[in-house]
Amino acid sequence: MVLILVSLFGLIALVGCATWESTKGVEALWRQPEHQQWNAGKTTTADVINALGPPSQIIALDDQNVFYYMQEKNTGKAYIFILWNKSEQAVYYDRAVFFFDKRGVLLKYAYSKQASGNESK
Amino acid sequence: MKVSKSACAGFILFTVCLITLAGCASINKHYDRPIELSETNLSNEQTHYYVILDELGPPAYISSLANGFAFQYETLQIDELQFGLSSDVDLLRWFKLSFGRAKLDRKVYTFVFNKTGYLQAYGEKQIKDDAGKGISYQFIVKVAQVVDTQYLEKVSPQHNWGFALLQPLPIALNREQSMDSGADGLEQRGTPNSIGQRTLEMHGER
Repeated sequence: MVLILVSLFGLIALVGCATWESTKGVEALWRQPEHQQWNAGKTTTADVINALGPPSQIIALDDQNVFYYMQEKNTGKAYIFILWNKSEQAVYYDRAVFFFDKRGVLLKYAYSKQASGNESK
Repeated sequence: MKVSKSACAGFILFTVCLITLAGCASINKHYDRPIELSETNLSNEQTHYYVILDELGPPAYISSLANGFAFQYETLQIDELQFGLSSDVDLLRWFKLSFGRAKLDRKVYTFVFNKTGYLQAYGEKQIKDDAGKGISYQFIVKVAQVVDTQYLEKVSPQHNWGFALLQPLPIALNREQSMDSGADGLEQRGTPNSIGQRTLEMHGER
């Protein structure tokens, strides 16, 4: 009987689970309500950079410049039951892009899709 | 027939040990949220990039091209299923021999725009493919991938853009041709380093 209990306890002791989460990139300030007031034709590069900070990447197109902001969230969980083990990892990106003309005036911006859909103007 | 207590215990212990000889594991990885283009009236020279941004949001990659620019959207799902075998021998019982097979589900959209921002060409591809298989010998309570899918899980270039010139010399010197800069083309995740501009970075030589 003791042997059985010890065996079962040993099996149970080997069962485990884990979760992890990490964030990379810039702070997603564009999700804050006070930073949602962008107007095409009015907002400038200075307005965006003052509000959101340095972008993850700046891309020079022919006659436009793009400010690309990105935050990466990596979440995962794992279950270990010896007989059946499972590990799940999801990497999601929250992005904001701003297209400016040669004068540095906003032409178009877009945010990543959230539960309620894309936000772009 | 009378069964002794010790025989009963031995039988149960044997069964438990037998069950622990085999096991399986499932490893799933998702990169980016699923994308679906519902706008079906895309037409070259008429659809503006604003429509694509409204529909799909910011692309994973943007690049300047010789006569315009391009967007690329990409989602990836890697599913690996493993079957593991262990032994009841004293020391070996803490290890398992795992056989794994990985499947890949990838969706890519590429849009090419002209200088004025109107669509020049676009393509969509959903690939469900075998990502490979492998065998490993590992600790029994560890859930580790057997199939190497690291080449598909590269870090987004936006994270490294700021210190591009601090990369090893062959990469830094060829920054002008790099596909991570946003100025010289796009590539899908998992594209081998032995083709195109990447050959200049001498990955095989380092």
